[in-house]
Amino acid sequence: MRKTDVIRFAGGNFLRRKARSALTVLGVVIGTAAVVIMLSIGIGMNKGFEDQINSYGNIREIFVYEKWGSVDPETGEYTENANREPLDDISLENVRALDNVQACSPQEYFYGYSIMDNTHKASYQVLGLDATSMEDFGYEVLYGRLLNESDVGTTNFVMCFNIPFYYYEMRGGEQVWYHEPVDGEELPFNPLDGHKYQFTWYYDYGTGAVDTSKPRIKLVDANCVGILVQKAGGDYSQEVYMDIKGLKTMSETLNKNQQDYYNSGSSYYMTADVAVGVGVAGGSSGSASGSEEEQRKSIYSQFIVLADDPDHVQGIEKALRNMGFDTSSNMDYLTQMQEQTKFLRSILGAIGVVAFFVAALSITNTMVMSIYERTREIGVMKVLGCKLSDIRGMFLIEAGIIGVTGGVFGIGLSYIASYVVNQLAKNGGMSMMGIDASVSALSIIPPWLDLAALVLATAVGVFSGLYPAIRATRLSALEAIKNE
Amino acid sequence: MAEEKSVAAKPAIVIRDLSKVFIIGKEKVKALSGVNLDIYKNEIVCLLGTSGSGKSTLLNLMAGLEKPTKGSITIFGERIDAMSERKLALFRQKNMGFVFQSYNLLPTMNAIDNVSMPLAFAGVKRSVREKAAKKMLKLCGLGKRMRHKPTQMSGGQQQRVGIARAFVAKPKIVFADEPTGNLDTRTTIEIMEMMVSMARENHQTLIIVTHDVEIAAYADKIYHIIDGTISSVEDNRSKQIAVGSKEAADIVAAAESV
Repeated sequence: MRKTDVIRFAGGNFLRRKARSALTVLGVVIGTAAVVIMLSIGIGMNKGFEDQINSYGNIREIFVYEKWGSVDPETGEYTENANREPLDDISLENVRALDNVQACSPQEYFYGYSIMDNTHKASYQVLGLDATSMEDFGYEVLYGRLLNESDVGTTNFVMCFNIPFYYYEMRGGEQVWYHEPVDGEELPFNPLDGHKYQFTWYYDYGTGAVDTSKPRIKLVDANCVGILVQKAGGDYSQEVYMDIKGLKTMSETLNKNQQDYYNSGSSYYMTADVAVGVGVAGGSSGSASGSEEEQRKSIYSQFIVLADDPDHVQGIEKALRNMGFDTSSNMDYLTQMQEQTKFLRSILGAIGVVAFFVAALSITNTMVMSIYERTREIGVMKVLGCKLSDIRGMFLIEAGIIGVTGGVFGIGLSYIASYVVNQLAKNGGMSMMGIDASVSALSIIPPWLDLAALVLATAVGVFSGLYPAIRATRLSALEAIKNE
Repeated sequence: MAEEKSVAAKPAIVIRDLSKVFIIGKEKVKALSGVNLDIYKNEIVCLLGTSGSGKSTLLNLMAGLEKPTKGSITIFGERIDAMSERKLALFRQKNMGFVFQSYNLLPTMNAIDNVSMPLAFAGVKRSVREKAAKKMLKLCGLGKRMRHKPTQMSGGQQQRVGIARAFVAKPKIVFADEPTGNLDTRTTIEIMEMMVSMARENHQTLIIVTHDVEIAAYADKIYHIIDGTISSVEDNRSKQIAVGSKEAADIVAAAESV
C-alpha cells in the first residue's frame, strides 16, 4: 500500500465517528493545554526571578575578588590564604582569555557629587572601568558615544539613562528631590548639549556657607560624551561610567582634598579613606618592602566579567575559582531562588502530566473500541491482501492524527488560558513569590514549549495507538468474515 | 481421483492428504480428513455439501486463512500451508479474489472505493485504480451507482460490487463462499451468470462453495463433500447450464411461480 493511501484510510476512519473522535481529541486538547499552562507558569516564575535580578544587575555578570581566605564548611575554621592571586593587568588578560568570557574589566567606585553648569547638583556613583571594554560589555548609547581608547586616563564619562532626572537646583532654597523616571519617559534635558560638569566629594557644596578657614573645596572638570538607553522592565541604575585610570586620578585628587579639609582646623572628622573602595587595593599602604619588588601585587579591588550566555556563568565561575579567585554573581541568587521553587514547579508539571496521561488512556480506549467495531472490516482487508504492516500503520496514524489535532488545539487553548491568567494576575495586582505580576508575566509560553507539546501530543497519540494497532493485526481474518 | 484425468497441463491447485481437526472444548472435531484434490486453470469448480460438511473449511485452507492439521496445499507450485502471514497477504493480493455470502463491503466507502480496495492494498496509484474500478462496475451493470454506499444498494447490487471487487485485480483464482446465499432466485441466476462469464472471459479459475444444487449446475466439475471427505466427483460439462440459456430462465420462472 502507498503511504498516502494508508493515511487516507486512517483519516477516513478518524472522520467517520465524528463525535467520538472529537471527544477523544478534546481529551488531548485539555491534556496538552494543562501541561503547557503549568509549565508556562513555572517558566514565567523563573523569568520573573531573572527580571528581578536583572533589574539589580546583569545576570551574566560575575564579580572577581582576591581570595583572602576560606571558612571550612564543617569546622567553621577560617584559614587565611597565603598565596593570593593578585588582581593586576596580567590576571586581567588571563581572565579575558577564558572561554565564553565576552568582556572583562577591573572595576572601582567613587561616590560623589556632580555639579552641572554651577547651578545643578546630583549625587551618584561613578563606576570606573576599562574604557576600551565598554563596547564589549554591551552598553548601548541613546545619544553620543561609549567610552573608547581615546578616553583612557581622562575624566570623560557616560551617563546611564536615569541620571538627568536626578539633577536638582542646588540653590533652590527648598530642597527639590529627584524623581524616578517611568518607562518611556523623555529626558528632562539633553546632557550632551554643551553642559559643564564637575565632580566633588563635598556633600554640602553650593548650599551651605563656605568656611574660609579651611582649604578650598576642589572640583574636577569632567566631560559627558554619551548617555545610555533606558533598560527595559524597570531601570534603577544610578551611575555614570568613567575610565578606571581617569577615575583613580580624580579620586586621588578629591580624597587628598577631603583629608586636607578635615585635617585643617578641628580634626574632628578626620578619616584616612572616606571614599569607599577607592585606593583600598592600591597596595600602597606600606606593605611594599624593597626586597620584593618583583612580586605581583593587586592594583584593582575587583574585576567584573561578562559571560556571553547566562548558561556559561557557572562554568566561568568555576574556572575563576580554579585560578585562585573568589567570585560572586547574580546567578548565585537566581539559582538559589529557582532551587526554592523547584518543588512548586514540579507539582505544577505533575498536574499537567496527569491530565496528559488521562488523555492517553482515552485515546487507547477509543482505538480499542473502534477495533471491536471494525473487526469485520479488518478481517476483510486481511483477506483481500492488506499487509499487516499497513493495518498497523492505519491505526497508528489514526491515533497520531488524534494526537496532532489535540496538540494543535491544545496549544491554541493554552495561549488563551495564558492570556487570561496574565490579565487576571495583572488586574488583581497579584504578586507571586515576590514577582510583581504587573511587570513580569505570570505565564510565559516560549516557542520551544509549543513545539515540545506538539511532539509530545503526537508521540502520546501514536504510543497509545500501539496496543490497539498490534491487536488489530492479531485479529483472525477468519473469525471476522465468518457468516453470521 | 483427479489424477485419472489425462490433462496435459499441470494443475493450478494441488491438495494432498489434507486434514483439519478443530478442538472445541475437550472434543476433537474432524472437519476434513485425507482430502486429495487437483484443480486446473480455467476450471469452474463447485464444492457442494451440506452445512457442516467441511466445504467452507476446505476453501479457507485453500485461501490460506487457516493452517491445516496435516497435508499440503500447493498453488502455482508454492506451499500455501507453509507461508508466513506476510507472504500470504502478498500472495492473496496477486493471485486471489473473494466473493462473500454477506458481501463484506466496507460500509463507509462508496462502490468505487470498495472495488478499488484490493488495488490500493497492492500499491496501485489512485487515479489508475479508480479508472479500473469504474470500468469493472460498468461491466457489472452498476454504472449509475458508482458513488453509492453499500447501505444505499440492494443485496443484489451489493453482491455485484463484491464481484467487481473480486475480479478487479485480475486474480488467477476467485473463491466464492455461498455467493448467492442471501439472494433471491432471479438475482442468484444473474449473479452466477455474471461470475461464470467473467471467469471464462479472463481465463480464471473459479471455486464456488455452496449447498445449492442449482448453483452447482454452472460448474464444470462438482465435488460432493460429505463429512470431511470428497465422496464423489461429477463431470458436469455435459449438462452444464450455459450462461443466458433457457434452463436458467426456467429455473427463475419455476421459482417465481411458487
